Amino acid sequence: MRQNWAEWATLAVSVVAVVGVIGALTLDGIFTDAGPPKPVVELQVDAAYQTETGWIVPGTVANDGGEAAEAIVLRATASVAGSEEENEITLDYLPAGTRVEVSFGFSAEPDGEVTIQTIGFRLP
Amino acid sequence: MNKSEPVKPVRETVRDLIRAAGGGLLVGLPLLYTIEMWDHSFLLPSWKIVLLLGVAFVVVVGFNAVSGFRRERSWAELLIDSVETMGIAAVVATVALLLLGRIGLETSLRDAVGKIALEMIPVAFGVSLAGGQLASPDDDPEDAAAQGSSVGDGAGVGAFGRLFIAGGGALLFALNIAPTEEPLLLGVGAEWWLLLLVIPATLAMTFAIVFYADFRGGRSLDAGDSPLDHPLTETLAAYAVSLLVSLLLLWAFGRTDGVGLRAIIGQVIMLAAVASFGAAAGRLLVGGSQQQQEAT
Repeated sequence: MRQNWAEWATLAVSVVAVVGVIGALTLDGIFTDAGPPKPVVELQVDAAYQTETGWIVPGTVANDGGEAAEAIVLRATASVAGSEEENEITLDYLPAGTRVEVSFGFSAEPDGEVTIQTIGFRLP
Repeated sequence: MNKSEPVKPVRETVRDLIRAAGGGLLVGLPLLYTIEMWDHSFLLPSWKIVLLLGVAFVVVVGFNAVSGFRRERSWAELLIDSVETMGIAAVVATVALLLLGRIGLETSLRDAVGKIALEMIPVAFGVSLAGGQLASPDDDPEDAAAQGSSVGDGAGVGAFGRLFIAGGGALLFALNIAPTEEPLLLGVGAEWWLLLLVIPATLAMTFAIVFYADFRGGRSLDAGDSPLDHPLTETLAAYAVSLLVSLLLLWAFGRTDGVGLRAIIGQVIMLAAVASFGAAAGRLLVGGSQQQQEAT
């Protein structure tokens, strides 16, 4: 039996999909230098909100480096009502180029800026 | 291909595609729901994923060659069918990952492509096994007869072909386990004598499945002409292939990095037990050699 248009369309989509996947991976393998993980945190202080259990400051953590980081621990420090408060969150994985949404909690709205420090991570 | 032949109805093609997607999901779903598969998309370097895709493609070509439904098929047609198998698998894996929320706008391109590339491997095996290629059999009764437990191409499968299919089956089964942590736990935890017991247990069970248990596609104990066409040698060879496939998968998923030799051997033996059942299932699928089929 001869091929109909649907079969040609399937073949075309298949070739595009296969070439796309392999091409993207190959290009990534050749041109992306695998630098160490670089966690970058952006806090959205404007979007912070009060809950019954505290003041929540949302933000994002991105990895601008070339390699993934595993078990990454971030510490947020801020002055709340005159006293220093700090807390930590742990991310299981932070792949290169991926953005993860996080939130830090404080007992009340911090007086000044919230500073974030990377405590450490494991290379997978 | 004859120009005077009628054009295949689009409806039939659509049905083939749906069957392909169904078969792909049937085999691929367990790994679509496996956290290690998601994580390995960014844990593995690109070249390793491409290598795995290459191995998967070779296996798909093999599956398509023996489970073929088009009686006369040139190498070019076989390759086109196999590319389509991979393409359909890529599309199915992408849609599934989107629906499962594993890839989205916040996923980096490399991460998304890595997930699709890894997940499309088991899906492609399913597509291939479902006979989902667009080259569906003409509706003649001979074809229907050929599509049982045995070879559709009617060409028969030699000892090496069967071993190749054994490798494909081993890969298909072991792939479900290899990315997870369990082989490492089993391999490290097992005493040496336990490992020594697992080997004969695996060999005995796979031997019995193929040559004694009377499964569909199983064979008698008669030896063939080739040295590999003897039940004992074939069982051993299939086990060796299973060990190799297990080692390849464990290495590919980084389970051998920085691990001691003893732990690697333990992992390989434990995973090969699973792989061997896949190898046995693969050999059941292709059935006996041509002589044996003619005899029955």
